[in-house]
Amino acid sequence: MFIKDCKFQVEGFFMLQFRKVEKYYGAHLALTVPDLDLQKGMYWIQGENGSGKTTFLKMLAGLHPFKGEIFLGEKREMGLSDNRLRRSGVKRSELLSGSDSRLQDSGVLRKPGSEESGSEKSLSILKDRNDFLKKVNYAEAEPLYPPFLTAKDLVELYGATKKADIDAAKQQLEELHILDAYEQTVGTYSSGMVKKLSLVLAFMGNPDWILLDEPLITIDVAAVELVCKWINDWHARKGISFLISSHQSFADGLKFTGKLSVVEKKLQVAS
Amino acid sequence: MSQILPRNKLATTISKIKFGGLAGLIFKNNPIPRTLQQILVNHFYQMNAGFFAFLFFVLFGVVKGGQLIDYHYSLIIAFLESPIIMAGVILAWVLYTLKCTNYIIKRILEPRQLFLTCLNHLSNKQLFAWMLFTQVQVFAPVWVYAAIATAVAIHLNHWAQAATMVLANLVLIFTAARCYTSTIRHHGTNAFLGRWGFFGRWAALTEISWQKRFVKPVFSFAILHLFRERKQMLLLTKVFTLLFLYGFIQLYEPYKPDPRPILLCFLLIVGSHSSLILQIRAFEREFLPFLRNLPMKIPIRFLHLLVMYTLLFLPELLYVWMAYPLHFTMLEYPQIVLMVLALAAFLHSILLVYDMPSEDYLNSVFGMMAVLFFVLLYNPGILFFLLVLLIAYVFFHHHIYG
Repeated sequence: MFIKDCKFQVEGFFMLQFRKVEKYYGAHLALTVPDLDLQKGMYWIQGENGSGKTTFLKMLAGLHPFKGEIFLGEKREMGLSDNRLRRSGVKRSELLSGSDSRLQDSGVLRKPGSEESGSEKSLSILKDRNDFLKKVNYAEAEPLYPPFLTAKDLVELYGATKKADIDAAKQQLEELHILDAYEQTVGTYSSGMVKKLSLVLAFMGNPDWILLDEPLITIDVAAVELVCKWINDWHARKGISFLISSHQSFADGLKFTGKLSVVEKKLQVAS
Repeated sequence: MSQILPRNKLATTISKIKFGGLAGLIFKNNPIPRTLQQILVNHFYQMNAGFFAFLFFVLFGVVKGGQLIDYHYSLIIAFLESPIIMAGVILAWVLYTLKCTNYIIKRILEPRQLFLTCLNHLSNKQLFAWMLFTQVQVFAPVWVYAAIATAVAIHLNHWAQAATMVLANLVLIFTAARCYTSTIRHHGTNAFLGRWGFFGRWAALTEISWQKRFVKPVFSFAILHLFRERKQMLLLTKVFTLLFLYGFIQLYEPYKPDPRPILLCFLLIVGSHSSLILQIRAFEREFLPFLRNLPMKIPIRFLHLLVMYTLLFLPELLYVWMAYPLHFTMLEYPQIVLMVLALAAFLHSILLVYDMPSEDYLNSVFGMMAVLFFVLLYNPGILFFLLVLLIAYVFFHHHIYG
């Protein structure tokens, strides 16, 4: 998103596009993704153990090579002056969510393709890898970091590469009660602490999509509630989309836009 | 063997040799020795294949086949008749024991090998016996050679030396087995090693204060890994390469500066580091996949690689100034540095292209060194090494993301 002169625009890479994506391990086909466009939202990926959920997320995060192409499609969803924004009685923070009905009623929110919506472009994970990865963050199911690194080392590294606010990350570490171990090596951490650290790292920077692989395993009950709150808040207030794989039920913790499932090595949109 | 065993029994036997090794043959229905063999012994030899290939070359490759027995007989006589050389030999055995214990203990403590704690249901004697079984196998290169030397000593009536060698081997084997037993009994608590606690606590405290001051840059990750997890390998490599460089500088006096001999020295030095490069790649594969999700340009990643190898070879690149100006001129120094970095980056990059077993990799290194030996005799100049660096970059660029 950016502010230019008196114009206010929400700009982001909201749509994930998969084109003929296939993942092989040697000669063994592990996963196919049909041509698929995922609109911005919050998605729950389901599937049996070993069905390919983690492989799918790792491909998307740039950790695994694959055949085919994945794009991040850009859409500018709004465009208006500050005066018009004031007249509509809508705050900027509400604008960011892009889903407030008042915005649509007042004509502030433009559908993609309308005159004010601006041009569209897309980022390819193969050709624009760095720009793509600035917009896609990932937390592994079982994160593994060199045991001699500290949380400080990792936060500073992510801060430098993802252009992220380090104080905000430290605030999140504090909320998860692991800031005291900020300068300790991760080799001294419990598995739950490493998991919490990896979740905070996944929220750093200015991503449009955050991929969370089994985000709730090994962390305590209070942390589960907090992480669910972060996901809901960031989706509602910042317009960030989530792809979450989990075997656990979220009950009412998360309000998913849709579900994806991996069945017989094929990713499909669940009903 | 095929004449003795029917075809199906032969296949079973071969599979036991392949997957269970010696233990599979001796302890047919016991899973404990098979597991220890696969998880600890085989892994130890696989990961140290470079070290053993080098050792094999030094002990058996430097003399002609017909002179091999005389050569080793002379070596054995030398340390039987000189207490100082004998002390040096025993020191080498102690260092090898430290290498074994360091490696096996770290392996036992890996989270993936946590299942080995199921051995705790064994009695102390049983557990110690199996650990003895493990140590006897990883210590085989030493005790086999020591057994031959002991036989020679007895034959020549050097009874004291024979007793010393037997005693040294027994003490080293039993001490190592005791360490492994304690590690499994007190998994993660370091109860046995904790008795050496002062140094451990001092190291931990200095490490913490150091951690607070500096944020570790990406290029330092692999070096720190070698310092922490591959101390012996790093120490042995550095001692060998620096002694080699020292010997060369002291013994060889050219008529005029000629960079070729020093370049040949550094060819051997880079070759000696090939096992460390293999360890660095293994570390990257296991611990650094998360870096792939970070938006870092490939040239920057390659630059990190070059800085990392500059740090790794810094002792040799600094020590070689002892040879200035007799062996090389100021203008030839960049060529030496470039050669070291280009070859190291090339070896690293071919591991990105082919995820090959360590044996194949070391064969490739030997092949490359043989070719480069002849190329260097013609002093190919700095452009040649720029070309090697460029090829390394092309490999790196195309295969860094798999």
